[in-house]
Amino acid sequence: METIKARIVNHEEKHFIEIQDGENTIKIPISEDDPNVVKAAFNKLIERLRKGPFEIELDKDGSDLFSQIAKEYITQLNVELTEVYEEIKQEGFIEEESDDSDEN
Amino acid sequence: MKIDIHVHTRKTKKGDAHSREITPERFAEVVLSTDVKIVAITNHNLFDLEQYNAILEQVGNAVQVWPGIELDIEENGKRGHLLVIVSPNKKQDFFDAVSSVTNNVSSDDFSISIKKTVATFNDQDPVYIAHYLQKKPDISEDVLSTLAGLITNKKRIIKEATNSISAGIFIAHGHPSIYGSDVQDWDAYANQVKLLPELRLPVESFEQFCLLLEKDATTINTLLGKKTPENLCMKPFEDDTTINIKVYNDINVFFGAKGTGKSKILEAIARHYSSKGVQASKFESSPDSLSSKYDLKGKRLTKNLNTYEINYCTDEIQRLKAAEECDVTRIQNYKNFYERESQSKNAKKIRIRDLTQLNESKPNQKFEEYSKAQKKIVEMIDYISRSQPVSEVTDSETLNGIIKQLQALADKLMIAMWKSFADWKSITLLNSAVKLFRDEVARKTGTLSKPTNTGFNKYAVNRLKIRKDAAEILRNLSVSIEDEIEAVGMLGPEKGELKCVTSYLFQDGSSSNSKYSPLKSINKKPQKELSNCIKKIEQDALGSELFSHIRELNAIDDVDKIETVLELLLFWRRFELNGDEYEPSKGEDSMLNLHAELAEEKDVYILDEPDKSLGNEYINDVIIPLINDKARQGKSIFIATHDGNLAVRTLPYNSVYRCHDRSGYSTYIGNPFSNNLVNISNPSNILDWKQISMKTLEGGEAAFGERGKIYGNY
Repeated sequence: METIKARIVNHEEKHFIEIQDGENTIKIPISEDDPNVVKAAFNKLIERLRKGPFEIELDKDGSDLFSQIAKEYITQLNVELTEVYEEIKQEGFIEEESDDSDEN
Repeated sequence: MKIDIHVHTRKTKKGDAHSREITPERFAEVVLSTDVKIVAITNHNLFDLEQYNAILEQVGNAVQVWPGIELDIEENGKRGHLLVIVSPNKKQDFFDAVSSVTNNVSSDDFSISIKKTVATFNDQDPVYIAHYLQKKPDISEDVLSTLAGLITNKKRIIKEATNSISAGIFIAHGHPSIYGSDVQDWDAYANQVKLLPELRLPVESFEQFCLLLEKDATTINTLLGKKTPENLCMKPFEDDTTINIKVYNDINVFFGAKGTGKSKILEAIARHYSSKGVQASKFESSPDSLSSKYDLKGKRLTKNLNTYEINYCTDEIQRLKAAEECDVTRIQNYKNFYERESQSKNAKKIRIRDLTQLNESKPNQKFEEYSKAQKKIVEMIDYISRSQPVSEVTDSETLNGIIKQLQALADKLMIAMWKSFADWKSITLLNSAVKLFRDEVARKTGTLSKPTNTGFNKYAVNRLKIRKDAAEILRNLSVSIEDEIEAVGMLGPEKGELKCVTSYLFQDGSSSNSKYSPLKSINKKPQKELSNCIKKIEQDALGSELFSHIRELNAIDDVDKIETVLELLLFWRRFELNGDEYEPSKGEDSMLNLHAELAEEKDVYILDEPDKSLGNEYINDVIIPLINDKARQGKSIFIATHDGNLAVRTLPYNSVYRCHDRSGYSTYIGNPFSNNLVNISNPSNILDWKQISMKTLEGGEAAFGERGKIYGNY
């Protein structure tokens, strides 16, 4: 299973889990509730799951509040990513690989 | 009424029995004592005009006696016998023709070729009756073909059988056939008469008999008593007048001036048959009913989508309408938990509360799969143990081996099933314990529980299901349904066949063909809006606009009326001629209405003025052959008409004439063969069928004129 790195970023006193998937960056706010932003991030995760299963790994293990939150959040999210991937597979939503890759 | 088309009154050949010789007086005595009403005198190679006249004098009008002869035909060195029978009106010409051709040659020595026979007698317009197969000496098929090639009306050739059984077999094989007594001994004639053909319809003359021959096999069926008369006793009118008429499973024509109650009688006939459980209704020609008959507006149109393996999508549509966003877990819950956790030492000790809940759905799914597989195998064992076909093709040893292996498989599946059940329930119990501890710790210590999940699963599955439902609806909307094509009828050889074509199309949001209409009572606009909305839902299932599309869907007018994809089905029903849309004219409408009525398979057809708005050409070329065909099949056809073509050309078994004068309404019954119409209330009141038909029917005179050869010029 593919592992995608994540880190905690602080931007204008707001904390985020920043998941870096290649050129795509997925940000989940952890210092305040912003459900729409979380949902937008979830949508990107679903799209990413259609390409194949993956897990998220936090690069640094801190003991501050946001590190604890991020660690727990990612642990739970990884379980759910596996479950949702199974659902995607079962419903036939797996994205087929593009033929373009062969040409490159 | 019996007919005998083959009698001898003279011993003309050495081989003839003396008992064939009979005097005119004795002839009259014998024949009048029987039910024979038509006799053809057919002596071997002789027509004795003097005796014939004497016989006529003796029998008077009680019996029709037709002049004839039994000729020895010689072709290719083989002899066969042919009866040549003509109208009594032509007895002198016939006598002259016989005399010229026999030229005093003795009957024993005389023979004639087919060609010469036709050349000699054709002017007398005879009926030819050939000895056939067992009737010796027979005329061969080749010679009969030659005869058919020499005469204009092939229906004038009949094959003579030895008895009713043979005649029945010939008729069944499409050969018009009849049989006569070929009397050997006049003293035994009375007994022979019992076996002679019965002529159910009274035939007034030789010419009428020829007219009856025009009905081909039907004629012979009549002779053999296959057409069954039925007495109808009806009260068609408000005044309780009873009408008793005999009808046949053939053509029964009702004619007379307008307003004489023909339609009422037809309605009474329809009621009569309906009450007996026979499908019967009165057909009326109505120029504008073809489009409603074929339901061009689709008012009665329904469609079973299951036939095309199309999912109605009832659940999918309902779920989309009711779809709601799933909330994600609030970040604040995590913050609250970690901020306060350190404040409660006791809470911290109970680590079980911090365990992440495990996913139950996967082991549950596994259990369901094993359970389903095990059940199927057990069913299979049960099936093959009981199946007769299986036991027939397999020996018991093989069968037991298969059952044993399947049983072993079922056992393994059962073990796997219980193991997965245990896994599933362990997780359920663990999750339950975690939740219990978490709730209890929170209650007792005031410490908030740690969230068990981010809400991603619930959120994602909800969106995936919405997308799946939308995709399923769109997939079904993309199924194409093939056209339904129904033959309406022929518009003549030049124009071709008119068809009723129904095309179907799902409104998938892109259709704007104005010829299509919604199948169900719903407007096109909401159909289109809903389909477009579903497209957007499918496209944006993982987007931020998803639920605004769902709201948009629920705001569509009449959205409640759209419960299945059937409500999104459009149809276009039209008439087509040679692949192009076609609007039949009023006359064509009438034609095709009648054609459609006659195309229905029924035992009883009741047609009220079917000729209305129709041209003579169509009546003659299409409708009359169709009606005659029904008659040949033994169907009962009742036609009220003013049209001479229908009343005359169909050669109806039954003509019912209605008229009105100072004394009130009268009903007469007759037919073209008897040429009379008898008043049903006063049998002595008889009208001439032909004269009344000519006077009453439109185009009657022309119809008779064209059929002069059949009806005769009397």
